[in-house]
Amino acid sequence: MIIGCEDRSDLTAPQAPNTGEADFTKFVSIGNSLTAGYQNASLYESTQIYSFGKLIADQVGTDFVQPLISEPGIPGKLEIVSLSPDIVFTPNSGFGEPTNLGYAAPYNNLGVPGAILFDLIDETDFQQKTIARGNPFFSLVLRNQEMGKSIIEQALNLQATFITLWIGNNDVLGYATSGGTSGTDAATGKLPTDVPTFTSLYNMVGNALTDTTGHRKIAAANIPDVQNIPYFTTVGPQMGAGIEAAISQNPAIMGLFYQKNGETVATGLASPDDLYIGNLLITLTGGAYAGLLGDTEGKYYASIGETPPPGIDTNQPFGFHPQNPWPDRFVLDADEIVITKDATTAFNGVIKSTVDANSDTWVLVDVNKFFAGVADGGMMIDGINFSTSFILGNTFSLDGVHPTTRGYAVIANEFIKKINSKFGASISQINVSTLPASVPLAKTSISKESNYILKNTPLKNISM
Amino acid sequence: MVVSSQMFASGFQINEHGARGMAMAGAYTALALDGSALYYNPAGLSQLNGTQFMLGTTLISPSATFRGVSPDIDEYIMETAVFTPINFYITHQLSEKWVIGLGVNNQYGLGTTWDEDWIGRYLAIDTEVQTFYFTGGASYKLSDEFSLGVTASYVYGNVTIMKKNSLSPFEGDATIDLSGNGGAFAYSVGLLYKPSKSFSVGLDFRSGSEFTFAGDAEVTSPSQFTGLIPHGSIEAPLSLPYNATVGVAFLPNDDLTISADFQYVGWSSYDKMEVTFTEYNGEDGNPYVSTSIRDYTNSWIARLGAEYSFSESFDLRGGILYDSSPVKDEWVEPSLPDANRWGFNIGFGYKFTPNLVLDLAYMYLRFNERTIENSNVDYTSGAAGFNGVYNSSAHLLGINLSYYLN
Repeated sequence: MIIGCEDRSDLTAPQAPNTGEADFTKFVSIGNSLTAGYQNASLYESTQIYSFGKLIADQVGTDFVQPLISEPGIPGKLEIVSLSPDIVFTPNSGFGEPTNLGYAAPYNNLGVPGAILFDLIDETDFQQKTIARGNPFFSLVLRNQEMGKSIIEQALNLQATFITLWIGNNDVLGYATSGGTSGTDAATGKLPTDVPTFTSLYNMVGNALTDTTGHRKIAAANIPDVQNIPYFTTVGPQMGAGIEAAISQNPAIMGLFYQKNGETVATGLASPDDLYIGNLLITLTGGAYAGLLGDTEGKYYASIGETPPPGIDTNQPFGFHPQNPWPDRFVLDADEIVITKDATTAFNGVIKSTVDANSDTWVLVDVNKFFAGVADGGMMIDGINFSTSFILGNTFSLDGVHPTTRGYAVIANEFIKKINSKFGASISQINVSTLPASVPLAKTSISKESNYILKNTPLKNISM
Repeated sequence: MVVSSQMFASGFQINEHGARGMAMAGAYTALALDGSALYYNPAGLSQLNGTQFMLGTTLISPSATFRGVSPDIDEYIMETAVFTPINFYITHQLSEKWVIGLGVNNQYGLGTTWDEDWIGRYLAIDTEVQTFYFTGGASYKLSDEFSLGVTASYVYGNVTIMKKNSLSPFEGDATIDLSGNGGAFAYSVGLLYKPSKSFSVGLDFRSGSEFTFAGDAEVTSPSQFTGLIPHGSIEAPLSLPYNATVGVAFLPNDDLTISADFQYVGWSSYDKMEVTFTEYNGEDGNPYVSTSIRDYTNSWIARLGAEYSFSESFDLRGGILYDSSPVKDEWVEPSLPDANRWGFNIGFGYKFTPNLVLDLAYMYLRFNERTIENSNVDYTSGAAGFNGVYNSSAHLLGINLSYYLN
């Protein structure tokens, strides 16, 4: 009883969970960078292994092969150079390489960073498309059209028994992150994908994926509103504070002059309050130039290596004068915010209709609603406080758009909840705190012009 | 010389401070027949003639594993080490009634080392506690039946804790090295009652002691975190428990002794480990305080021992003990993988001459397998209980030489 052998009878390895009507024998994730496991503006193995699809596959206990890329990723991931007194981060200057390009079947993870809805069914040669779009991932993920001419075909060729589908984000995000200067609509290329096109494409995808025998199940996620992500909410308030301070020194400053869509000489004028409350959103990429406000030496144009266009007078204070305004591509103004919101709402309506029309085999994962909750005051999950604050909010990686590893785990749990309730499964949720924190730290300190700098960001949450 | 011990009695108490008592499973409070009376029961000093020296050590070789974290069943093995707490006693009979003594031993100690990259690295990697008790004592013989004894100790203690700390939300870890030392006082009082040649009762109370350790925290981290993690001078209070023991001994004939002890340990004194970083302010502008809940409960140890004299020069001893853990399931952690345990003891005493005695004791300590399912000990930077299965055991070898000057 006492000195006897250790009782190891309780030490059986965990059993595969009951997945109910959902069959994960061949599990495929279709989508864009969010499905690929992209974070910190890069795709690389140490975070690909925590893509939400891979996390679900691990919980279920099924194979999930991915197009892994070695460190520091493609392109080199963003890394923190310093944290105090300012947060400074910059892309790693190295490049990773694909490590299992020779895998003989389509990957289970068919998330292609940069993919828009159209790309799911597009049968253009992948190499040509990579060149045309300046996007290496079409050839890295999809490789060879013998495995399927399109993303959807590759999924079907794998005889997928379960699919996650999360697409459409870039149909609005491309427009928004460019500050409303470029887009994916057929007519102008300067707006979000137009709703009729989105509708017909999503229906095509829905028809292609729906299994009339009812066996294959599909969990489809919708599109989170983008104006709450740190890419848009981090820099504006900091600039607002800077401008308020400048005004108190020099009452002649009227506020931030910014280019409205297509303008050279600006008609846009924003007060510090507009920047605080988000009537006007400044992109994270603009953060690198926020320190140049008031500059009268043309430093902005010098640092981007461009000659100031006709009409611009760099002797005027940068951002404080209509003739040397804050650039269009770093600002999402009120009109552009409305366009973004309307597109998101319309696309989510299309996604919901498709799910509803195939409700025997499809379930909707309302990621938009979930992130609205995170944005509204934060959410404590497994002892970690998730909010939309940049970096310290735990949810978003350094690019301000893509989740952290733990953020992806939270999303995986949202899928698992819906799969469980819809298909009678009992897949365990992930304790997100057991996954590694993933904001990268640069190994060596480097200083270059393209550093993103966030002024005076307080960092007092490191505890022990 | 390393003077320390791993979790050798419950909590981080060490109860073996003389091989004769140890061989009888520590059921020695009603006997206290050698210099270790300074520890077991100072009233026992009254039985010691002339001047006596006693010097020894206990070699302790513990092993422990953790399997988890549930539902995973990966096995992690604590690094092996041998610890050598010492004991040394001098006693001198002043008169018929008075005997005095001096002693040094290590009444509390702990040493555990886990791999620095293991899954519990935020909880424990290297943990070491040492205490040195410098004790003076005296006994007074009230009558042939009654003796009283008292001791006073100055206790020097030092603690080192090395573990890792998450940099969440950033990748990677920092390494935190805490070290500190401090002094405290303790006392004990004992009573020995021997109504006949064949029966005795012993009572012993050893006080707790209150330390305030002072030292510093060294942090090794990626350069981005330089200065951002609590570091520098630290202070940490620590309360060690009181012990109250009652023992009886029967001597049915001239050759056989049977003894039993019941020891009650006031471990509820150890409710938390609170480290104050006196030079590093937290968010609220006050010195940063790191608190780890311990929430120990009072515990007890039951001991049964026997000694048989084969000859004038050779005694054989044995014993068994059961020691209850003061650590609640929800707060068990790998710096001290504690559990209820059984101890099986055997040993002998050999007189080379009437004045020179060797005592040897061996103990096998078998910890009950402990399965934790409701852990409050978080091993991540969020909230995830360190659930799993602990298995521990230890081999101990006690050696003492005693020399009598009559």
